[in-house]
Amino acid sequence: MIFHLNSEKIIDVERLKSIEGIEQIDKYRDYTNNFTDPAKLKPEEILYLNLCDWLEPQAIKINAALKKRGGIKVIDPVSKAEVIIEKYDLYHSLLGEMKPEFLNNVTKGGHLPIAELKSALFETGEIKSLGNGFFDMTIKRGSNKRLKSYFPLGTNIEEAVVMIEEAILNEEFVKYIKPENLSIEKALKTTEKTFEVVHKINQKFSIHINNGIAKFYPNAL
Amino acid sequence: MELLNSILMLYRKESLIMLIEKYDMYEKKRDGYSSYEMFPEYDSFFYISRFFLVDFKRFRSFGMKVFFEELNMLGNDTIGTEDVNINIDQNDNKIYISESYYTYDQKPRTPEIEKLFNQSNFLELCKIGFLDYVTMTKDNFFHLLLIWDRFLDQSPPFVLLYEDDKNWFDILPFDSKKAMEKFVADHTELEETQK
Repeated sequence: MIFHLNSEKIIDVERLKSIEGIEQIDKYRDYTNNFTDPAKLKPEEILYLNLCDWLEPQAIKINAALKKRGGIKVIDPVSKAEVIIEKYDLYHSLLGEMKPEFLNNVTKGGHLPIAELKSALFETGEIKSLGNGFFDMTIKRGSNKRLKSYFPLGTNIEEAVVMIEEAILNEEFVKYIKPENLSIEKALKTTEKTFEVVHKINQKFSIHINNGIAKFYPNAL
Repeated sequence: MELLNSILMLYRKESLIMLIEKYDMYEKKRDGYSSYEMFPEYDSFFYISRFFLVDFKRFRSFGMKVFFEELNMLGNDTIGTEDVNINIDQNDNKIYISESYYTYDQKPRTPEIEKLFNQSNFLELCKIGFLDYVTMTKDNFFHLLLIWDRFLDQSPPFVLLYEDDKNWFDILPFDSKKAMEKFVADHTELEETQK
Protein backbone atom coordinates (compact mmCIF):
# COMPACT_ATOMS: atom_id res chain seq x y z
CA MET A 1 0.00 0.00 0.00
CA ILE A 2 2.88 2.37 0.74
CA PHE A 3 3.36 2.91 -2.97
CA HIS A 4 -0.24 4.15 -3.26
CA LEU A 5 -0.09 6.56 -0.32
CA ASN A 6 0.55 9.45 -2.65
CA SER A 7 -1.45 12.67 -2.57
CA GLU A 8 0.61 14.53 -5.16
CA LYS A 9 -0.12 12.65 -8.34
CA ILE A 10 -2.27 9.86 -9.69
CA ILE A 11 0.11 6.94 -9.77
CA ASP A 12 -1.34 5.14 -12.76
CA VAL A 13 -3.81 7.20 -14.77
CA GLU A 14 -4.27 4.51 -17.40
CA ARG A 15 -5.15 1.89 -14.80
CA LEU A 16 -7.67 4.24 -13.18
CA LYS A 17 -9.21 4.93 -16.57
CA SER A 18 -9.61 1.20 -17.18
CA ILE A 19 -11.55 0.51 -13.93
CA GLU A 20 -15.23 0.34 -14.72
CA GLY A 21 -18.42 0.06 -12.73
CA ILE A 22 -17.15 1.51 -9.46
CA GLU A 23 -19.40 4.40 -8.45
CA GLN A 24 -16.79 6.01 -6.21
CA ILE A 25 -14.32 6.18 -9.12
CA ASP A 26 -16.91 7.05 -11.76
CA LYS A 27 -17.81 10.28 -9.93
CA TYR A 28 -14.23 11.41 -10.48
CA ARG A 29 -14.15 10.09 -14.02
CA ASP A 30 -16.94 12.52 -14.90
CA TYR A 31 -15.41 15.36 -12.88
CA THR A 32 -11.97 15.10 -14.50
CA ASN A 33 -13.12 14.17 -18.02
CA ASN A 34 -11.86 10.60 -17.69
CA PHE A 35 -8.86 11.72 -15.62
CA THR A 36 -7.52 13.94 -18.37
CA ASP A 37 -7.77 16.99 -16.12
CA PRO A 38 -6.14 15.89 -12.84
CA ALA A 39 -5.28 19.49 -11.97
CA LYS A 40 -8.84 19.82 -10.69
CA LEU A 41 -8.13 17.32 -7.94
CA LYS A 42 -7.23 18.25 -4.37
CA PRO A 43 -4.43 16.31 -2.64
CA GLU A 44 -6.89 14.28 -0.53
CA GLU A 45 -8.85 13.35 -3.66
CA ILE A 46 -5.65 12.17 -5.36
CA LEU A 47 -4.81 10.06 -2.31
CA TYR A 48 -8.31 8.60 -2.27
CA LEU A 49 -8.17 7.69 -5.97
CA ASN A 50 -4.76 6.08 -5.56
CA LEU A 51 -6.18 4.00 -2.72
CA CYS A 52 -9.17 3.03 -4.90
CA ASP A 53 -6.63 1.85 -7.46
CA TRP A 54 -4.85 -0.13 -4.69
CA LEU A 55 -8.12 -1.70 -3.55
CA GLU A 56 -9.48 -2.65 -6.97
CA PRO A 57 -7.54 -5.89 -7.71
CA GLN A 58 -8.20 -7.15 -4.20
CA ALA A 59 -11.90 -6.30 -4.42
CA ILE A 60 -12.13 -8.17 -7.72
CA LYS A 61 -10.43 -11.23 -6.22
CA ILE A 62 -12.63 -11.28 -3.10
CA ASN A 63 -15.87 -10.74 -5.00
CA ALA A 64 -14.93 -13.33 -7.63
CA ALA A 65 -14.33 -15.90 -4.89
CA LEU A 66 -17.66 -14.98 -3.31
CA LYS A 67 -19.46 -15.38 -6.63
CA LYS A 68 -17.77 -18.73 -7.29
CA ARG A 69 -19.20 -20.18 -4.09
CA GLY A 70 -22.66 -18.79 -4.81
CA GLY A 71 -22.53 -15.92 -2.33
CA ILE A 72 -22.99 -16.14 1.43
CA LYS A 73 -26.34 -16.46 3.13
CA VAL A 74 -27.14 -14.32 6.18
CA ILE A 75 -30.03 -15.67 8.23
CA ASP A 76 -31.59 -14.58 11.51
CA PRO A 77 -32.69 -17.73 13.35
CA VAL A 78 -35.50 -15.90 15.17
CA SER A 79 -37.22 -13.76 12.53
CA LYS A 80 -36.10 -16.08 9.71
CA ALA A 81 -35.07 -12.99 7.72
CA GLU A 82 -32.47 -14.02 5.19
CA VAL A 83 -30.53 -12.62 2.30
CA ILE A 84 -27.66 -13.74 0.08
CA ILE A 85 -24.64 -11.46 -0.18
CA GLU A 86 -23.43 -11.60 -3.78
CA LYS A 87 -20.87 -8.81 -3.61
CA TYR A 88 -19.11 -6.60 -1.05
CA ASP A 89 -18.94 -2.83 -1.49
CA LEU A 90 -15.38 -2.67 -0.19
CA TYR A 91 -14.87 0.88 -1.45
CA HIS A 92 -17.61 2.19 0.82
CA SER A 93 -16.91 -0.14 3.74
CA LEU A 94 -13.15 0.19 3.89
CA LEU A 95 -12.15 3.44 2.13
CA GLY A 96 -15.32 5.51 2.53
CA GLU A 97 -17.27 7.84 0.29
CA MET A 98 -15.78 10.87 -1.40
CA LYS A 99 -17.50 13.17 -3.85
CA PRO A 100 -15.75 15.78 -6.03
CA GLU A 101 -16.00 19.33 -4.65
CA PHE A 102 -18.03 18.33 -1.59
CA LEU A 103 -15.38 16.95 0.69
CA ASN A 104 -17.31 17.79 3.86
CA ASN A 105 -19.37 14.70 3.13
CA VAL A 106 -16.48 12.26 3.47
CA THR A 107 -17.51 10.97 6.87
CA LYS A 108 -19.56 8.07 5.50
CA GLY A 109 -18.09 4.55 5.46
CA GLY A 110 -14.33 3.91 5.49
CA HIS A 111 -13.60 1.63 8.44
CA LEU A 112 -10.10 0.49 7.57
CA PRO A 113 -7.72 2.55 9.74
CA ILE A 114 -5.50 4.04 7.05
CA ALA A 115 -3.82 6.78 9.07
CA GLU A 116 -2.67 8.79 6.05
CA LEU A 117 -6.19 8.95 4.62
CA LYS A 118 -7.75 9.86 7.98
CA SER A 119 -5.27 12.62 8.66
CA ALA A 120 -5.75 14.01 5.15
CA LEU A 121 -9.53 14.08 5.50
CA PHE A 122 -10.47 14.77 9.09
CA GLU A 123 -9.74 16.50 12.29
CA THR A 124 -9.35 13.41 14.42
CA GLY A 125 -10.05 13.24 18.11
CA GLU A 126 -9.84 10.85 21.00
CA ILE A 127 -9.72 7.08 20.52
CA LYS A 128 -11.58 4.50 22.63
CA SER A 129 -11.09 0.76 22.48
CA LEU A 130 -13.97 -1.49 21.47
CA GLY A 131 -11.87 -4.52 22.44
CA ASN A 132 -9.80 -6.96 20.34
CA GLY A 133 -8.00 -4.05 18.69
CA PHE A 134 -11.19 -2.49 17.26
CA PHE A 135 -11.68 1.12 18.22
CA ASP A 136 -13.91 4.19 18.01
CA MET A 137 -12.50 7.55 17.00
CA THR A 138 -14.14 10.97 16.72
CA ILE A 139 -13.69 12.57 13.33
CA LYS A 140 -14.79 15.97 12.08
CA ARG A 141 -14.99 17.65 8.72
CA GLY A 142 -16.93 20.90 8.29
CA SER A 143 -20.17 20.68 10.27
CA ASN A 144 -20.09 16.89 10.22
CA LYS A 145 -18.84 15.25 13.36
CA ARG A 146 -18.95 11.51 13.72
CA LEU A 147 -18.06 8.73 16.05
CA LYS A 148 -16.60 6.17 13.73
CA SER A 149 -15.54 2.58 14.36
CA TYR A 150 -12.42 1.02 12.89
CA PHE A 151 -10.94 -2.40 12.32
CA PRO A 152 -7.71 -3.04 14.25
CA LEU A 153 -4.59 -1.29 12.97
CA GLY A 154 -2.84 -3.38 10.37
CA THR A 155 -6.00 -5.24 9.26
CA ASN A 156 -5.78 -5.99 5.58
CA ILE A 157 -8.72 -6.21 3.20
CA GLU A 158 -8.94 -10.00 3.18
CA GLU A 159 -8.76 -10.19 6.96
CA ALA A 160 -11.63 -7.70 7.26
CA VAL A 161 -13.81 -9.78 4.94
CA VAL A 162 -12.91 -13.04 6.68
CA MET A 163 -13.98 -11.52 10.02
CA ILE A 164 -17.33 -10.49 8.56
CA GLU A 165 -17.91 -13.93 7.05
CA GLU A 166 -16.96 -15.74 10.25
CA ALA A 167 -19.43 -13.55 12.15
CA ILE A 168 -22.18 -14.32 9.62
CA LEU A 169 -21.53 -18.03 10.13
CA ASN A 170 -21.89 -17.57 13.91
CA GLU A 171 -25.61 -18.04 13.21
CA GLU A 172 -26.86 -18.04 16.78
CA PHE A 173 -25.94 -14.36 17.07
CA VAL A 174 -27.28 -13.09 13.75
CA LYS A 175 -30.01 -10.51 14.33
CA TYR A 176 -32.19 -8.85 11.71
CA ILE A 177 -32.92 -5.15 12.29
CA LYS A 178 -36.38 -4.44 10.99
CA PRO A 179 -36.84 -0.99 9.41
CA GLU A 180 -39.07 1.27 11.49
CA ASN A 181 -41.59 1.93 8.74
CA LEU A 182 -42.41 -1.61 7.59
CA SER A 183 -44.36 -4.50 9.05
CA ILE A 184 -42.29 -7.63 9.56
CA GLU A 185 -44.20 -9.33 6.72
CA LYS A 186 -43.32 -6.55 4.28
CA ALA A 187 -39.78 -6.17 5.62
CA LEU A 188 -39.00 -9.85 5.05
CA LYS A 189 -39.92 -9.48 1.38
CA THR A 190 -37.65 -6.50 0.63
CA THR A 191 -34.27 -6.91 -1.03
CA GLU A 192 -32.74 -4.40 1.39
CA LYS A 193 -31.93 -5.75 4.82
CA THR A 194 -29.79 -4.85 7.84
CA PHE A 195 -28.28 -7.43 10.18
CA GLU A 196 -26.13 -7.33 13.26
CA VAL A 197 -23.72 -10.22 13.59
CA VAL A 198 -21.31 -11.13 16.37
CA HIS A 199 -17.94 -12.77 15.79
CA LYS A 200 -16.73 -15.44 18.22
CA ILE A 201 -14.12 -13.00 19.52
CA ASN A 202 -17.13 -10.97 20.74
CA GLN A 203 -16.96 -8.22 18.13
CA LYS A 204 -20.22 -7.02 16.63
CA PHE A 205 -20.63 -5.90 13.00
CA SER A 206 -23.53 -4.29 11.17
CA ILE A 207 -24.18 -5.35 7.59
CA HIS A 208 -26.49 -3.53 5.16
CA ILE A 209 -27.39 -5.54 2.10
CA ASN A 210 -29.18 -3.95 -0.84
CA ASN A 211 -29.90 -6.09 -3.88
CA GLY A 212 -27.14 -8.51 -2.91
CA ILE A 213 -24.44 -5.85 -2.33
CA ALA A 214 -23.18 -5.61 1.25
CA LYS A 215 -21.72 -2.67 3.16
CA PHE A 216 -20.37 -3.38 6.64
CA TYR A 217 -18.77 -1.83 9.70
CA PRO A 218 -17.69 -2.80 13.21
CA ASN A 219 -20.18 -1.82 15.91
CA ALA A 220 -20.25 -1.63 19.70
CA LEU A 221 -21.64 -4.60 21.65
CA MET B 1 -69.98 2.16 30.18
CA GLU B 2 -69.37 4.45 27.22
CA LEU B 3 -70.21 7.47 29.35
CA LEU B 4 -67.87 6.26 32.08
CA ASN B 5 -65.09 5.82 29.55
CA SER B 6 -65.66 9.32 28.20
CA ILE B 7 -65.58 10.81 31.69
CA LEU B 8 -62.42 8.89 32.54
CA MET B 9 -60.78 9.99 29.28
CA LEU B 10 -61.67 13.61 29.96
CA TYR B 11 -60.40 13.28 33.53
CA ARG B 12 -57.10 11.87 32.32
CA LYS B 13 -56.63 14.54 29.70
CA GLU B 14 -57.57 17.44 31.95
CA SER B 15 -56.03 16.30 35.16
CA LEU B 16 -52.87 15.09 36.71
CA ILE B 17 -52.61 11.79 34.93
CA MET B 18 -49.90 11.72 32.33
CA LEU B 19 -50.80 9.97 29.10
CA ILE B 20 -48.26 7.93 27.17
CA GLU B 21 -48.43 8.53 23.42
CA LYS B 22 -45.51 6.37 22.27
CA TYR B 23 -43.25 3.91 24.01
CA ASP B 24 -40.62 1.24 23.73
CA MET B 25 -40.17 -1.51 26.33
CA TYR B 26 -36.69 -2.84 27.06
CA GLU B 27 -35.48 -5.92 28.82
CA LYS B 28 -31.98 -6.40 30.22
CA LYS B 29 -30.09 -9.11 28.36
CA ARG B 30 -26.62 -10.53 28.66
CA ASP B 31 -25.14 -7.92 26.33
CA GLY B 32 -27.27 -4.87 27.18
CA TYR B 33 -30.89 -3.85 26.71
CA SER B 34 -33.13 -5.21 24.02
CA SER B 35 -36.44 -3.78 22.80
CA TYR B 36 -39.40 -6.13 22.86
CA GLU B 37 -42.42 -3.95 22.22
CA MET B 38 -42.58 -0.57 20.54
CA PHE B 39 -45.79 1.44 20.05
CA PRO B 40 -46.65 2.54 17.45
CA GLU B 41 -44.68 -0.20 15.77
CA TYR B 42 -44.03 1.75 12.57
CA ASP B 43 -42.78 5.11 13.71
CA SER B 44 -39.64 7.23 13.76
CA PHE B 45 -39.61 6.76 17.56
CA PHE B 46 -37.37 3.88 16.44
CA TYR B 47 -34.43 6.31 16.06
CA ILE B 48 -34.29 7.47 19.66
CA SER B 49 -34.68 3.89 20.77
CA ARG B 50 -31.86 2.88 18.45
CA PHE B 51 -29.67 5.67 19.82
CA PHE B 52 -30.05 4.47 23.42
CA LEU B 53 -29.77 0.77 22.63
CA VAL B 54 -26.81 0.96 20.27
CA ASP B 55 -24.94 4.25 20.29
CA PHE B 56 -25.25 5.78 23.73
CA LYS B 57 -22.57 3.65 25.37
CA ARG B 58 -20.12 4.59 22.61
CA PHE B 59 -20.54 8.30 23.36
CA ARG B 60 -20.52 7.48 27.07
CA SER B 61 -17.12 5.80 26.76
CA PHE B 62 -15.64 9.20 25.87
CA GLY B 63 -17.22 10.70 29.03
CA MET B 64 -20.65 12.22 29.53
CA LYS B 65 -19.14 15.63 30.21
CA VAL B 66 -17.45 15.57 26.80
CA PHE B 67 -20.71 14.62 25.09
CA PHE B 68 -22.67 17.38 26.86
CA GLU B 69 -20.01 19.93 25.95
CA GLU B 70 -20.10 18.86 22.33
CA LEU B 71 -23.87 19.13 22.15
CA ASN B 72 -23.67 22.61 23.67
CA MET B 73 -20.72 23.88 21.70
CA LEU B 74 -21.65 22.70 18.22
CA GLY B 75 -23.66 25.12 16.09
CA ASN B 76 -26.45 23.86 13.87
CA ASP B 77 -24.34 20.80 13.22
CA THR B 78 -24.61 17.05 13.08
CA ILE B 79 -22.95 14.55 15.32
CA GLY B 80 -23.58 10.93 14.56
CA THR B 81 -22.62 7.35 14.13
CA GLU B 82 -23.40 4.87 11.39
CA ASP B 83 -26.80 4.24 13.02
CA VAL B 84 -28.26 7.67 13.72
CA ASN B 85 -27.58 11.37 13.26
CA ILE B 86 -28.10 13.86 16.06
CA ASN B 87 -28.84 17.21 14.46
CA ILE B 88 -28.73 20.25 16.67
CA ASP B 89 -30.90 23.31 16.21
CA GLN B 90 -29.35 25.86 18.58
CA ASN B 91 -31.83 28.56 17.52
CA ASP B 92 -34.87 26.58 18.65
CA ASN B 93 -33.01 24.68 21.37
CA LYS B 94 -34.04 21.38 19.79
CA ILE B 95 -32.51 18.06 18.87
CA TYR B 96 -33.47 16.00 15.82
CA ILE B 97 -32.44 12.36 15.87
CA SER B 98 -32.64 11.13 12.31
CA GLU B 99 -32.15 8.06 10.16
CA SER B 100 -28.79 6.78 9.02
CA TYR B 101 -26.97 6.98 5.72
CA TYR B 102 -27.91 3.39 5.00
CA THR B 103 -31.62 4.18 4.79
CA TYR B 104 -31.65 7.73 3.44
CA ASP B 105 -29.11 6.90 0.75
CA GLN B 106 -31.76 4.79 -1.02
CA LYS B 107 -34.29 7.64 -1.30
CA PRO B 108 -34.65 9.50 -4.61
CA ARG B 109 -33.37 13.09 -4.44
CA THR B 110 -34.42 16.31 -6.09
CA PRO B 111 -31.74 18.89 -7.02
CA GLU B 112 -32.79 20.93 -3.96
CA ILE B 113 -32.26 17.94 -1.68
CA GLU B 114 -28.95 17.12 -3.35
CA LYS B 115 -27.85 20.68 -2.65
CA LEU B 116 -28.70 20.31 1.05
CA PHE B 117 -26.71 17.06 1.17
CA ASN B 118 -23.76 18.73 -0.45
CA GLN B 119 -23.97 21.43 2.22
CA SER B 120 -24.29 18.69 4.89
CA ASN B 121 -27.43 20.50 6.05
CA PHE B 122 -29.05 17.56 7.80
CA LEU B 123 -31.14 19.81 10.02
CA GLU B 124 -32.94 21.30 7.03
CA LEU B 125 -33.29 17.83 5.50
CA CYS B 126 -35.20 16.87 8.65
CA LYS B 127 -37.30 20.02 8.66
CA ILE B 128 -38.43 19.61 5.05
CA GLY B 129 -39.36 16.01 5.82
CA PHE B 130 -36.81 14.27 3.62
CA LEU B 131 -35.17 12.54 6.58
CA ASP B 132 -37.24 10.60 9.09
CA TYR B 133 -36.58 11.86 12.60
CA VAL B 134 -37.74 12.21 16.16
CA THR B 135 -37.39 15.59 17.84
CA MET B 136 -37.35 16.99 21.36
CA THR B 137 -35.97 19.94 23.29
CA LYS B 138 -32.30 19.91 24.15
CA ASP B 139 -33.19 19.97 27.86
CA ASN B 140 -35.32 16.88 27.39
CA PHE B 141 -32.53 15.10 25.54
CA PHE B 142 -30.03 15.95 28.29
CA HIS B 143 -32.51 14.64 30.85
CA LEU B 144 -32.69 11.31 28.99
CA LEU B 145 -28.93 11.10 28.68
CA LEU B 146 -28.46 11.57 32.42
CA ILE B 147 -31.06 8.94 33.33
CA TRP B 148 -29.84 6.37 30.82
CA ASP B 149 -26.30 6.92 32.04
CA ARG B 150 -27.47 6.09 35.57
CA PHE B 151 -29.43 3.03 34.40
CA LEU B 152 -26.38 1.56 32.71
CA ASP B 153 -24.76 1.50 36.14
CA GLN B 154 -27.81 0.32 38.06
CA SER B 155 -29.01 -2.19 35.42
CA PRO B 156 -32.74 -2.35 36.22
CA PRO B 157 -34.23 -5.50 34.63
CA PHE B 158 -36.85 -3.56 32.63
CA VAL B 159 -36.85 -0.04 31.27
CA LEU B 160 -39.60 1.98 29.61
CA LEU B 161 -38.81 4.81 27.18
CA TYR B 162 -41.87 6.88 26.37
CA GLU B 163 -43.21 10.14 24.99
CA ASP B 164 -46.16 11.65 26.82
CA ASP B 165 -49.06 13.78 25.65
CA LYS B 166 -47.04 16.95 26.31
CA ASN B 167 -44.27 15.71 23.97
CA TRP B 168 -41.96 15.09 26.91
CA PHE B 169 -39.74 12.01 26.64
CA ASP B 170 -38.85 10.06 29.74
CA ILE B 171 -37.30 6.79 30.88
CA LEU B 172 -38.40 4.74 33.89
CA PRO B 173 -36.97 1.60 35.52
CA PHE B 174 -39.07 -1.41 36.54
CA ASP B 175 -38.41 -4.55 38.53
CA SER B 176 -40.76 -6.67 36.48
CA LYS B 177 -42.29 -6.88 33.03
CA LYS B 178 -45.75 -7.02 34.61
CA ALA B 179 -45.22 -3.76 36.51
CA MET B 180 -43.96 -2.00 33.38
CA GLU B 181 -46.87 -3.21 31.27
CA LYS B 182 -49.34 -2.18 33.98
CA PHE B 183 -47.79 1.29 34.09
CA VAL B 184 -48.21 1.60 30.33
CA ALA B 185 -51.80 0.33 30.50
CA ASP B 186 -52.60 2.82 33.28
CA HIS B 187 -51.21 5.72 31.26
CA THR B 188 -52.52 5.11 27.78
CA GLU B 189 -55.82 6.05 26.19
CA LEU B 190 -58.69 3.73 27.09
CA GLU B 191 -58.88 2.49 23.51
CA GLU B 192 -55.38 1.18 24.00
CA THR B 193 -55.96 -0.37 27.41
CA GLN B 194 -59.00 -2.19 26.11
CA LYS B 195 -57.06 -3.90 23.30
